[in-house]
Amino acid sequence: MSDSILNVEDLCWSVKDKNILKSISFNVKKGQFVGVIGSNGSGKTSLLRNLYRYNKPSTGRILLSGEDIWRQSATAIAKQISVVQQAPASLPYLVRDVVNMGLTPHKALFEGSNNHDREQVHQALGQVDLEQFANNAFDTLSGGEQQRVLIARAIVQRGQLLIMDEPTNHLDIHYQIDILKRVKQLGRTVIVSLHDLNMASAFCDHLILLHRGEIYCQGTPSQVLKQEIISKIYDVDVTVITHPDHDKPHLLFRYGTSQ
Amino acid sequence: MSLRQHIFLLIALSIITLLSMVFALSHGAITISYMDVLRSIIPAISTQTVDPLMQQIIVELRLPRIILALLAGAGLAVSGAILQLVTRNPLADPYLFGISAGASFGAVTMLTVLSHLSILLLPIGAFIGGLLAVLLVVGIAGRSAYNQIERMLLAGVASSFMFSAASSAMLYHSDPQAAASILFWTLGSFAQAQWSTLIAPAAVILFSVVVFFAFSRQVMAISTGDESATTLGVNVASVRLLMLVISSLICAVIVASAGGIAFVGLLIPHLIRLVFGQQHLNNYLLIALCGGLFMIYIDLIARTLIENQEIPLGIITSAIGSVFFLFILQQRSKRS
Repeated sequence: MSDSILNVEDLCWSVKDKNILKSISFNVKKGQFVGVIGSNGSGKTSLLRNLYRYNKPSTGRILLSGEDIWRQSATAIAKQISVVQQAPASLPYLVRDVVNMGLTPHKALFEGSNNHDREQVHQALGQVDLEQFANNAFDTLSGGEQQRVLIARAIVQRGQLLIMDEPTNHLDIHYQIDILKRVKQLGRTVIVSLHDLNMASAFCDHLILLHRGEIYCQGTPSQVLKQEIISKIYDVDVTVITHPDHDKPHLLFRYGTSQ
Repeated sequence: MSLRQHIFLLIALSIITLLSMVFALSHGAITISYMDVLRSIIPAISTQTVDPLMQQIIVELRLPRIILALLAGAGLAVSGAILQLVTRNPLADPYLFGISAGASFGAVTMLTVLSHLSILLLPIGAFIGGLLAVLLVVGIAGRSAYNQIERMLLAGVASSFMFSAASSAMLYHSDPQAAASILFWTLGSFAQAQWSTLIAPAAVILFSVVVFFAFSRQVMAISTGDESATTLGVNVASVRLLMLVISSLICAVIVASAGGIAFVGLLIPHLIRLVFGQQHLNNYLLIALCGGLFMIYIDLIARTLIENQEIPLGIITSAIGSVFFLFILQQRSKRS
């Protein structure tokens, strides 16, 4: 327990008597890279929203470094948890303004930006290789670049825990790998929801498989990505092999196009 | 825009505003020379004395009027920008939330029920009516962020219509003279400006701009979405309500002292978007200066366009506003 940064205890969340999340419990250790997987509508986004204190659990609690997140202010949580949501359709601001917003929880009322802040924004953009775009409009960037800007915002926000909701959505395979590699290099504790199971296998230390609002199973990629589990949950024909590079499971799907 | 360019722009706009004030002071029903204008305001600059009548026109009539125009323009523009940011609705302005209708209702009540006291009590009635409308909207909008924007807008529209219906009913049963003075008042005018009536709007607008600066980061975060702002540590529902209440206060105090001046809260933020870009919508000094400058010239037009007669401000701002929005429409269709 002592090295856990996040403990989720019997979390339930319902909207208008409809139970979206049912008795979810898991722990995240410091430095872990945790993947949340599951089919569409399994409750991945709802779970993450509860974790970053946007939705309030109906019952159960979420402890961040041992303290209930709902006994702390939104600002206190924002200093510890940085969030990268699915990229918004449009943000009518310059790239550096978007990154600068990461400082919001660290600033008192009236407090302006100083040289140190500008340096932080510059460095964060450097970490995602976008310094040259600092003065461009956010909307003119490609999807992958926009995701990197939002990661730079999370870097500036300095949370020890980084939560990302499907950061690889709508990205081509190059950017999918690129984004997850960069996040892994940050060396923070990460909880990320992913659709691509092979990507989840390659990058995550721990996987949580959600099914109809419940944890179907959790563990290392080899424990979760088993042929019988995946074929049942996703209703697909699948063969699991070992990936030659990282020795973790790799899924081969059967498309039924030839005999 | 770099910080230095930004400061340069603000200083340049301030100088233009001061020059425009002198220009507006000199023109009117009678034209007074610039030298006499300066001598009347700052007697120390010259040993020559100014005709006392001229001095009185400058100091007692035109100067408070122009300062009220500056304050009203600045206040309406800034509150429009704030409301557009926190509701993420580019068509939001303080009048959309029923304040103007509430204020008119208060004024009509004063005029028809207590007609002999009306001159003194009309602004107070208008202010109370405006506050009533705000309380109604805030009460309905509630303190949870869920659907708060929709609830705010619909409550605003509902209270607008309700107060308009009540005012119309009262006007219909009142005498024609009261109806005419109400009409003039709802269209807006700075003619009633006096030094003593400037204190309330000046205090409210200065206080509000200070609060807006304090919450600048939070407002900016809300403009990117409720969920995103929450993850940045912003208490979205309360900040948005606070911004609505303060914008409404500004609007109520302006409506009380100058009547309903339409379109300015909508027009100036759009002008800022067009010229400088959306990221300057939280640059409150820039917006306040542009709004004030705009209003000084609107008032000048109102005083001088037709000789010996004043045109209500609302007619001019609405006419300019409609042309401006057609212009924006044309620009957009050209771009796409």
